[in-house]
Amino acid sequence: MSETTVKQTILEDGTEIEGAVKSKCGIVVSGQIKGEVTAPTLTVTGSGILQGKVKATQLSSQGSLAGEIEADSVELSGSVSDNTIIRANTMEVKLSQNSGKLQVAFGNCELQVGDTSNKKQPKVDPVVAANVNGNGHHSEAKHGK
Amino acid sequence: MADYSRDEILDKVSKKESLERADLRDVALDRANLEGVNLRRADLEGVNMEECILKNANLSSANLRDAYLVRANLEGANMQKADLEGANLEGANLQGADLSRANLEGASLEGAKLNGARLNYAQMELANLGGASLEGVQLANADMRDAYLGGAKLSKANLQNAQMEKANLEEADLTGAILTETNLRGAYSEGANFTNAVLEGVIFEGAALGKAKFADADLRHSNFRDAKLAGVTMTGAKMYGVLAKEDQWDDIIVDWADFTEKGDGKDNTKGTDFVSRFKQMLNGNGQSVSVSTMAPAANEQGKRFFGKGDVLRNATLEFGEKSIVEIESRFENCSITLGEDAKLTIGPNGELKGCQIVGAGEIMIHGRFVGERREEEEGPSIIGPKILFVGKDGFVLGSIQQPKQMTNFGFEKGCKLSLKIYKAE
Repeated sequence: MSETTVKQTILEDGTEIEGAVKSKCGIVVSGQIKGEVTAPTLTVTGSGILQGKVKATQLSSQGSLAGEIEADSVELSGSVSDNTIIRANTMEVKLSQNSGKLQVAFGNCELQVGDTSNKKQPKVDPVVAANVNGNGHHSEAKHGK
Repeated sequence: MADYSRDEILDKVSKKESLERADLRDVALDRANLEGVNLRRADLEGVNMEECILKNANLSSANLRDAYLVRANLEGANMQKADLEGANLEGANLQGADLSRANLEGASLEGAKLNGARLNYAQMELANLGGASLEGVQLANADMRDAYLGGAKLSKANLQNAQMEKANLEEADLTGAILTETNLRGAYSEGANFTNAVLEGVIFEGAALGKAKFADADLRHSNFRDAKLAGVTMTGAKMYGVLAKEDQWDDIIVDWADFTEKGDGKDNTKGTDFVSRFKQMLNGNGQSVSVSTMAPAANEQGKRFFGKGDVLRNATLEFGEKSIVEIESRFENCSITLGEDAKLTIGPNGELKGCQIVGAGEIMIHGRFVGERREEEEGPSIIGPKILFVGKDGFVLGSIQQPKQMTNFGFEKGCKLSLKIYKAE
């Protein structure tokens, strides 16, 4: 039987990185990253701190998040610091069943999850739509009388 | 100077010629026969048209500001969008006339006959309609703030969504009239007769309604907070969802009333049980007012259920500690206070728009919560909850102020959020 190994970048507890980190494989943060972080998957463990501009497809955090976070899906516990914005298509926070212990401690922050435009889709005039040319400009439609 | 003299005008009328857009200011037209004349967009400002015959005339968009139309015959006239601000129409005959979107601000229509007339969206602020006949009149969406309608006959009139704040309806007859969602806040309506009227969702807040008659009226979801109700007749009234304090019913005349949601009279309450039945709609602490008779499955103490299809606007609701509240209806601009450990669930059909929820309760959202508040002036839309849980189909647009102990949040995958979160101050 063959064994497949998933490549991961692991930042151990006690390690700090400041600057831009861009990875094609997943990153596990048990230490601290401050700066711009881009990765397909990001896992922040209980001791991890992720601070800055973060872009990921999947983000799972049990540690501390701060800054501007963008991800397709977010699973959250731990803490979210002041002045943090999290934008995601989906977010999951499990409600703590243990009274007195919070799943997530939120500071002053903002959550933008899913499409909350609260607007109906405008109807598209099929004639106009058909006359939009390749440059995105409307070409004049000629109609007979 | 006017375009035509009185004789020239009468000559044109006899030949059925149009006077559209004519400037007729300063012409004396009293007692003239102008039946069927076209005066569309004509300028008749301040003209004396006393006892003038304008039957079936076209006066749409005409300028009739301050015109003197006392006892004029305007039966069947087209007066859409006409400007009649300050005009004197005392004793005029306007039966069947179309005054839709006309401006009658400050006009006097005392004793006028308007039976069957159309006045939808008319501006009638401060107008005097004392003793006027308005039977079957269409006044939907009309602005009648501060208007005088004392002794007016409005039976079977349609006053849906009309603005009648501080209007005077003393001794007016509104038998069988439709006033769905009309605003009568602060109106003086002593002795008015609302027998058999449709008054669903009417705001009577702070109105003087002493000795008014509400027999067989549909009062469901109407708001009587701070209204004076001494001596009112409520026999046969439909009471589901009425907002008031229980002590407001101390001095009323009622043989029986209908507390059913559908108002179908299947569960009539005897007059002697009226107050106790109303109390059932009050919340646990009995201070402010809650609404709704209980759904069959929600009948235990402290549980409130607001069913699908109901709409509650501008209400203040307080739920005592450990209350259980389930909302499947629509709340607009309501202020909700939750006692310690009260549990508020917005069900899949529930929608709260422009509302504020305050208190150390548990909030479960499976429907929609749309804050739409001026946060700087009014504060966050949710203040101090112990728990905020948003289910997979939940939608939350607003802001939340956490208590000192912080809120326990839960978000199911699939929920939609546009949420600002603040720590305790």
